[in-house]
Amino acid sequence: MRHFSSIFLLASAAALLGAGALAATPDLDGVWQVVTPITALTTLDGTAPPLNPAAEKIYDQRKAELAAGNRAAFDSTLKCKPMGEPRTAYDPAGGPFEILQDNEEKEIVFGYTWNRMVRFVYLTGKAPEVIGPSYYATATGAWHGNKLVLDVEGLHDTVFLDASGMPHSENLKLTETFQLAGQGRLLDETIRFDDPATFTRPWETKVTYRKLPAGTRIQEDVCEERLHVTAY
Amino acid sequence: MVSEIDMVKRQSGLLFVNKKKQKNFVNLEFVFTGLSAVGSDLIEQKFFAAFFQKRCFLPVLLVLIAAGIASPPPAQAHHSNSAYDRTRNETVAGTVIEFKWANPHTWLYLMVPDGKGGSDRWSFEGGSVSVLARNGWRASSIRPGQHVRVICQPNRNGSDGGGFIKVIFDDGSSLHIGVI
Amino acid sequence: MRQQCLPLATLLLLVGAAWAPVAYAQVTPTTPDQLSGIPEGFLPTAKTPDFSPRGTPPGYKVNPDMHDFTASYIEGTGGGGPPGGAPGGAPPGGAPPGGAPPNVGASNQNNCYPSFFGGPYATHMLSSPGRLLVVNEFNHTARRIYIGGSHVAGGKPTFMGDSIGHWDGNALVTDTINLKEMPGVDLRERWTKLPNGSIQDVAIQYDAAGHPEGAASTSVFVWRPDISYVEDVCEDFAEAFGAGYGGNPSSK
Repeated sequence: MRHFSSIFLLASAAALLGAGALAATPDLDGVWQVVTPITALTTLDGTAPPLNPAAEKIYDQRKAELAAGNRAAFDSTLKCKPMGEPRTAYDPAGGPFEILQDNEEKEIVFGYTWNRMVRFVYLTGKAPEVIGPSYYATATGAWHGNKLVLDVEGLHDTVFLDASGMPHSENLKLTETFQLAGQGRLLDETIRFDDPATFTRPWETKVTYRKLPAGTRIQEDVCEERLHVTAY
Repeated sequence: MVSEIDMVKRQSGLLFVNKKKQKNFVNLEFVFTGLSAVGSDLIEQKFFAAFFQKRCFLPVLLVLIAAGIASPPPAQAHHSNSAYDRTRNETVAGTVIEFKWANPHTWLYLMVPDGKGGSDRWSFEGGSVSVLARNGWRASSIRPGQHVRVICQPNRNGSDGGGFIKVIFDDGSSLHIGVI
Repeated sequence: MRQQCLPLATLLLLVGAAWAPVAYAQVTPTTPDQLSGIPEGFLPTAKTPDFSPRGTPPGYKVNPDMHDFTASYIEGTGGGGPPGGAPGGAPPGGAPPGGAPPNVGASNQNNCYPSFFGGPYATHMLSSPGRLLVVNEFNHTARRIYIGGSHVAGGKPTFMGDSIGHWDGNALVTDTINLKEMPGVDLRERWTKLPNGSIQDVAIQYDAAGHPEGAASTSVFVWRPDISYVEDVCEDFAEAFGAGYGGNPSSK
């Protein structure tokens, strides 16, 4: 009996250790879609983001164009210029996106439907080394317990933060925190916007995505073909 | 505050200098400024006084025109339709207007003195973002206002510019294109 | 009068003569020391410029999992042209594995439509359970291979096609159909990780009747652990030059 107890204890310990190792980082793999598409960002408590007066003026102008049905006046995505980060994941036109994690937890790819854009995130845990501004910015990240935290910098200032044309400067710093919820059926993303040239203080918003059924595939989207436009 | 040069010009009633740069125009103000830098106040006063006396005006003007005509033209020839003359390199010194970090080619715009007191805008095309980035370049590597020397393969059609392959900064450091 | 004018004129001439060469020093022939650091392939002395990408750098350890292709690569064969386009050159063209598709034209690339591409633009692969993602930097072109999956019944043709695969030992055997620009073609490939970390891709095209069209073609994606993904957006080129890569806008 003594031997059996020892073996049982050892086996239980091993199982627990093994399970612990496997569950070290959550599995975000899958195809996700925003639950409530966002046209105009709000803060965590549902209020308007703290734009400074100059930025607010620009944003109001664009919102007026949008209300007048004149989105083409300011939104270059209608000419297939990239929708950019972080907008593509939560824009009404963004479509589903997939997250793929490599086996060694060194990198993550976000594959968006909209015009087949992709974003590579390297899990170095260091500050991004920004080569130059881009449409999906430069992101590095690390796991903190069960949260994936991404530091994002180097975003083109021609990219809007939402479909209403929210502006930002090239010095914008985003912190994106991803956490599974709803027993893995939901993915919460908290985004922190830090851009003293645009906002009077850093602020946060939260977006929730739902997992699409297993086997869902990202469809090929060719913006110029879909909108029947010549690339610029 | 009115400069001494302006005062002399106003007194003589002769506003000869065209402040806006024009190609192929001898910018007299540049010459005046150069002399001021070199000579003493006394020489300067005597020079301006002499120049603006009408009896001296014509001989000096003839000298200046002769100097302008004798100035060598830019050493560029017209060749075939291929973009750049890959058989030679040129080093162009100037001040950065803009460094455009874009795909598939980066662009570098320079203000280059034309040898006649004015300056021309030169346009240089470079490698793609990924090629340059993998050779140590960054969007912030070159900034407006910096004085640089650009090594290029000059435009075959003789226009101001070419394909840039290296940039040398005033402190001696440099960045160049390379394989990846 | 002359006595007053002559010294003045002489002074002007001397200053002008001294100054003129300095002015034209702005544009000078490049000296040899100024060329230091530039690879030979970019110098006027290069008879046939060699822009080949570098090989795998030393000092990196290959992931021993032969089914894990996650890494960055630059295709060492099949692609053409200088990396990223040499100054003044057009963007390089590349043939897909198995040969150039018959209908893809410069017009489609001009309109930023996706196209198969290889070197010298980098290719980044990511292996995840049941998946291989292959992303070439040229216009961020992504191929999605569903390992153990099935073709989509009644699927509509796309530029990248419908790719599935299965493992045959250490070879990933893939099958791509519904290629928009290669109607009826079944593109079959064997992807194998080599001991040096590079990926070999042997491809054969089959026609609608199942007969091979032409010989197999081999691409090698040279392992490049020293590089990471750099964004390339065709629409930027289009904005600057009035059309996508290639120069001529396609019809709508």
